[in-house]
Amino acid sequence: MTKANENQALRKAAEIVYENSAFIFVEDISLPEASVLESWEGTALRIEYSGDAQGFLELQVQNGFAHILAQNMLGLEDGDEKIASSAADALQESLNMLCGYFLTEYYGENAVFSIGMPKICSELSLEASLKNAGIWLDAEGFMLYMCHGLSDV
Amino acid sequence: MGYSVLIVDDSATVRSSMARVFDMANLPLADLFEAENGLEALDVLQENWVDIVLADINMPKMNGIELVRSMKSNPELRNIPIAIVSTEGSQGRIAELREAGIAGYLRKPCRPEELKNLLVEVLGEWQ
Repeated sequence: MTKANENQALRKAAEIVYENSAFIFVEDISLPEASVLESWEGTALRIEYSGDAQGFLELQVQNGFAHILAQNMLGLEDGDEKIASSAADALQESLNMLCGYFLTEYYGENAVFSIGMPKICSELSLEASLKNAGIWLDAEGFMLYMCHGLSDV
Repeated sequence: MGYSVLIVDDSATVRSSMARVFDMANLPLADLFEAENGLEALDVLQENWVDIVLADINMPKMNGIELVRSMKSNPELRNIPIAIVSTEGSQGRIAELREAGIAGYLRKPCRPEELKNLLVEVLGEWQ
């Protein structure tokens, strides 16, 4: 399978998960300009899976996206205190769902996997994730970057 | 009056959003219990009557598959319907869960009509 297949599966997973869980529509965008990348401020997450194949997904989201996600997932009004306290959990759960949909889309419905716990990784830089040649998406005006990689067995 | 439900998921956001899905589906709730994992769920079930358990698979301490097996091996709990609500789409995993005795399976994020159909199928229409 090619990187294009892989990225197509990531894109489809993102469309399903964000639209169905939070009414957020994502659109493809091209690689942002160098100045955007240099001033990037966001949250990095990673989830690992094992089973018929072994690998990981990484998600980098621009600051502000987690609040929109939590607010929409929970149907909260602007300014609700629960938005901030739920933001990290909403992001992690979205990566869990992304991984589930990606695996079915990429490996098919007969493959069986164990999915690990999604983690926020403060040490994971955008630069490191970019080496996996993933996809950029626009979600409600915020930039998201997603990539997949296989682990060494 | 309404359904008495236990939602088992390590994500507080998912537990809250599932409660919202009940509301959106116009499903009446008598009691909504929550647990972060299978072990907590068993504690809740020791103390409370519920009509149905909705559990994730991927949880720390005791996952959803272990919870299903634990409930089915316990004479006091084996008749309580348990449905899995998970991100997993593997047919092999779903077949394994059905063999273990689950009453239904929903894929996250689930839509209100899907949840309603599951409850009606397992418990019947609320009168």
